[in-house]
Amino acid sequence: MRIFLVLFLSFIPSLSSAQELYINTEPASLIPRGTKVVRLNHHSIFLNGTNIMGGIGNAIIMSPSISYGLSKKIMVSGSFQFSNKPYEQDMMPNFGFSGFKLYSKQRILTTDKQKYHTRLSSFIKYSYHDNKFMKDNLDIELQDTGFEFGIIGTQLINKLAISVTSAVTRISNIDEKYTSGSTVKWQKINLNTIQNSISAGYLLFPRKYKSYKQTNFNLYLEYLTNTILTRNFPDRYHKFSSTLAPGIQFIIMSRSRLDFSYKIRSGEMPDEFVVKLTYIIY
Amino acid sequence: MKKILITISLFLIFNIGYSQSFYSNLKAVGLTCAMCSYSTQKSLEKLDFIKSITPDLEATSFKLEFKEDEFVDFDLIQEKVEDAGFFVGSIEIVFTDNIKAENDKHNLISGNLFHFFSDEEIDSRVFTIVDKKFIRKSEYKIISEKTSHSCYETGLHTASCCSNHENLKSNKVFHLKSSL
Repeated sequence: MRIFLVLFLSFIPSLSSAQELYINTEPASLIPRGTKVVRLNHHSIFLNGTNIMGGIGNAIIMSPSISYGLSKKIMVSGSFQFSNKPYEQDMMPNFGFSGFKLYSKQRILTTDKQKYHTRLSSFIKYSYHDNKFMKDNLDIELQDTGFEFGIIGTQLINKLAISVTSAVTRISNIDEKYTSGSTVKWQKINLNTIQNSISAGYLLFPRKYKSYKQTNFNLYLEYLTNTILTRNFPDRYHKFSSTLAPGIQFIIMSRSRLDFSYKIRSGEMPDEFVVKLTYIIY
Repeated sequence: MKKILITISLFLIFNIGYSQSFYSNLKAVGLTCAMCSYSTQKSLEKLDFIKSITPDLEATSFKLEFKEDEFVDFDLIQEKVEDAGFFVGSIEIVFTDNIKAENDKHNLISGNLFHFFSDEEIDSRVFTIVDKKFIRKSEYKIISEKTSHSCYETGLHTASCCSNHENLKSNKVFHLKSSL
């Protein structure tokens, strides 16, 4: 994990410009009014357990999404998720629907000067998922159900763009074991969590912008944390967990994006490979 | 002799009337990627009166050329930049020929009414839009103290404010200050 940090930091002085099209978090900026952004998200989670058939079960998740700029201050977005069921011993292909997400972001504040700006936005998200891939992890992006409300701040000063996100989440699909008399039963409980993240992005190529046709190559580093606020929670979860996500991005013809990111989770939790393909429709 | 004079003067009027036009240099701020510039360009392309857009990606500026027979509404240009999520840093207007900028006087150029401010009478080709929405409050205050015309406050041409002009394409007035 540290090697990534060192490598990344040693790159910084040679970079020419900041970028804020983060891969694993949203920037405070909105999409332009009247434009649609379509995206295909792919996640491979390298589950470290084995399933009953004896093979290593990797979770494969595909999720198409569409976003729309309602005005210069509000954008909305929705997505469906399809995935395999890595814990089921099914010889048949078991790829199927496993959830959806609704999201809206609102611009609160913007101050723009030449190569210097501050942006502040709020967002609300509802997410429904019926397939839990990581039994000891909380993640409404991929596998849990709940509401989230948060604030995003992005600060750009010359070559450095830092974005900070802080969100509270109420997760409602947590299974908890309890005993009633002599029988053991399961019930659904809610957990409140707070998520904080910090993201930075840099433009590596091109050195000089001349045309929209030049492919941009960007480097990203994101650090995401999750803290459980609810006092009593099932002991398979950790009160604090974190993810480090380095990533690279290609911007092609100024209207398509191809993102790759590798999420390294703390503790015993599995790593994840993320690929995102984005296209803007004007 | 009379005929020759008439022909010459007609020729001159014709020339003055149709040769003086302008283009703009729009400086956008807050753009941090090629995608941002492209979004801004796409948003600007929706405006009918723009003939062509030439971006300078390094400087995040756009050279805008306009259709000759249409009114150029700089408020809409600003709106389109903001729709894309960015801001107008400044808009420069570059005339094809030098213009004598008499302070606090109006000038009708290819159907667009401009109101000029200048510290001294100068001939110049390059001016900057100094309307309320395009500059800082403090700058606006300084200029507004120097003019008695209400159009600087309202942005509109009215009989009580400005002298009569024929062939106005719009009653909007944009205010210019020499960039020198």
